[in-house]
Amino acid sequence: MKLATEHNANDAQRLCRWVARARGGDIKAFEYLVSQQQSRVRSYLAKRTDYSADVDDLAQESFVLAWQKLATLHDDAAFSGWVLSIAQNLLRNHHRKQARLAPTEPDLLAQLLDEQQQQHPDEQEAELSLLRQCLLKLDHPAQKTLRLYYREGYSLQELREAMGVAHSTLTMRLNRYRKKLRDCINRGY
Amino acid sequence: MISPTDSQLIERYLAGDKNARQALIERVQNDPEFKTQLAQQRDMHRLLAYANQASSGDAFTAAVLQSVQAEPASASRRRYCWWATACASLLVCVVAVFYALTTSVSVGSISKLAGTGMDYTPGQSISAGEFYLDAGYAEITLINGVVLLLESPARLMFENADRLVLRQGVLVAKVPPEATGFAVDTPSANIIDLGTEFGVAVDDTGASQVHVLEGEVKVKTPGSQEYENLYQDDARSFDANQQMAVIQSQPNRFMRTLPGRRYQQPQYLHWSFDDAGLDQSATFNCAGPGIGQQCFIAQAQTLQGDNAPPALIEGAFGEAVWFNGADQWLDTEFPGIGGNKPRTVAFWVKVPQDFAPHQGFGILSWGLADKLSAWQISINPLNVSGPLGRIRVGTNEAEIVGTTDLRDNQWHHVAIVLFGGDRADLSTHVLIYIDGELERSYGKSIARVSTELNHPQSKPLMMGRNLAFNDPNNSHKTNRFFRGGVDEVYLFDTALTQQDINKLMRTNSLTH
Repeated sequence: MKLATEHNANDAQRLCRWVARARGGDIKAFEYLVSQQQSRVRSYLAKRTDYSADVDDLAQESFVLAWQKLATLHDDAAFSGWVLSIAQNLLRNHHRKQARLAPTEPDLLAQLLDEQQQQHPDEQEAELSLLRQCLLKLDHPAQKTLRLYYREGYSLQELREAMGVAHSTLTMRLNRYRKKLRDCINRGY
Repeated sequence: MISPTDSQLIERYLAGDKNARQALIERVQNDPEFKTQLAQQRDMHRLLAYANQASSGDAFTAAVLQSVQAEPASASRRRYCWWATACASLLVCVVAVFYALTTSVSVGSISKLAGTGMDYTPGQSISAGEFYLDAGYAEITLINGVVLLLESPARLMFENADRLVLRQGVLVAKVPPEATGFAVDTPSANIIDLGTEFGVAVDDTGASQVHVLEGEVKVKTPGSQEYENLYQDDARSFDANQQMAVIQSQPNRFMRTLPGRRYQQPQYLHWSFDDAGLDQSATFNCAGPGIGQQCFIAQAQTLQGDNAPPALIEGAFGEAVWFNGADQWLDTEFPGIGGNKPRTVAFWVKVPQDFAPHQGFGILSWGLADKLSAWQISINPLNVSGPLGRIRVGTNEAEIVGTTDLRDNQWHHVAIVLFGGDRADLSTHVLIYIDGELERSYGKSIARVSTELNHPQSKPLMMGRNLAFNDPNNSHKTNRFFRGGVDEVYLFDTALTQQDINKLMRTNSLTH
């Protein structure tokens, strides 16, 4: 436990040094910060929007704004949370813009689930990188199912036919695979 | 635990069904535990949807850096005096003009790709400025006719079509006479072409090597005034301290060509192993248009001579064969694809976790078991060649060994592509794909491919048996048979693209 605490303290010190260098205009230092924080910011955004195609643009904009406003950050150790708050603001604006462009009735269920999300902030983990590793731990049929559904864009019906299973079997499996991935991410891979 | 009814409701909701959404509101309001589960399912659904289209961490970081560098100035360094603002405005104009003249100008376009994923597409225009290649190989044709072949991971900066800076990675430049003078700078060397083809490699410390493949180039360290002229088969290294040294030429270190467009309708052989047991004849039919308009059945053989077929197991598509690694294999009369002609071999393989090294040779083979005359795909059984359990492409005394450990008792899709030609070489003309992704190799031999079909000892295509196991009565011979599952064997007379291979893996067909 002591070792882990020391390790975290070292990480935090290192991060502060890189933030200070980046504030002085060192682009290589900022590149390092982006490479260290990108998975966290992208995971944060991805989990909060159904517009997955916009996540990279928003994440990129967050870092560009962070670079431009770095002089206003007074506590170097707060860099991670600060970038996330920039991302959060950009996402809120993005949702407002989407609502103006395509007005829909308020989504009560989404609001209820969002409450849940805020009650359990788990943004300390770079979930995107962990997810990629956890996917590889699934067995072959699970990997295949998720690949066809999420990458190849199969509908549930096409997926059912491709996998040769009943509808309820397929939906149970999808639920189970997601649960397994969540457990794997929570374990830290 | 989510009930089957709830799971169906959740999937409908995640797929955008409004009725399912209404139905779930009540459930969520009355059942806090269900609410937690649904929130987790939705978050993971969104994360998965994103993860399957997200760029790699390196590519994302590179894109951020490009945007940041395109900004005129960092806010942290602004000064708000009026005269400074005026100067800054002027600077912004100058920078804008500079960028308009440089970064927005196309220097060329991507002509071929192999294994690069979704980041780039053939025909895509390349502008002056930074260019990153995280995976695979890319061929870029510049507007002055220079053809560059890049090997990942590569980071470079195009100043214009006549000059680039290679910060990391490997490239080969083919420079036509009209583009003589084309220059490549690295952190430790300056290279100017004098009408030629040359390879440059830069490692992550900035040290570089230059190998002249044809013609002539001149090279110097950045701090030096004097150039040295180099000719074919000359090579120089430059360390991070800009010290130049003479090194041995290694022309085969560089990938010099990528597969072009494949034939519109390739000829192929296909064994699905789904037709066994129908007539107990111990043969497996060959489907597809055939090669040379002929298809070839696969005949089960055993050392005992009783033609007992291998066991059948559930495959990636339908049934598959399971070789016992002791005494059984499949014979065909297909002589194979000879010389340095292009070919693609694709199949699914399942390697048991308790796989023993002597059970690696060979999944599929043909040709002559003599130096460089064979074509045999195996699971690497020899420590001396590289890590055990990886895919191995061997020609006898030369081989490529991959890096993915296949000993996990799961089905993996394997495709080996040789794009032929006079210079077809194991080290530079073979691409391996595992589960649709370009496989990095642990090690590659430098050896021309010349598969021998016409020698009296040459053997036609076999599956499950080592090509070098000649005498069935020799019980002392080790490494005789392959142990594991094999399904959907395809053999094409052309070099398939990664897109083809992914389609084959996904649909078990090229025509769907």
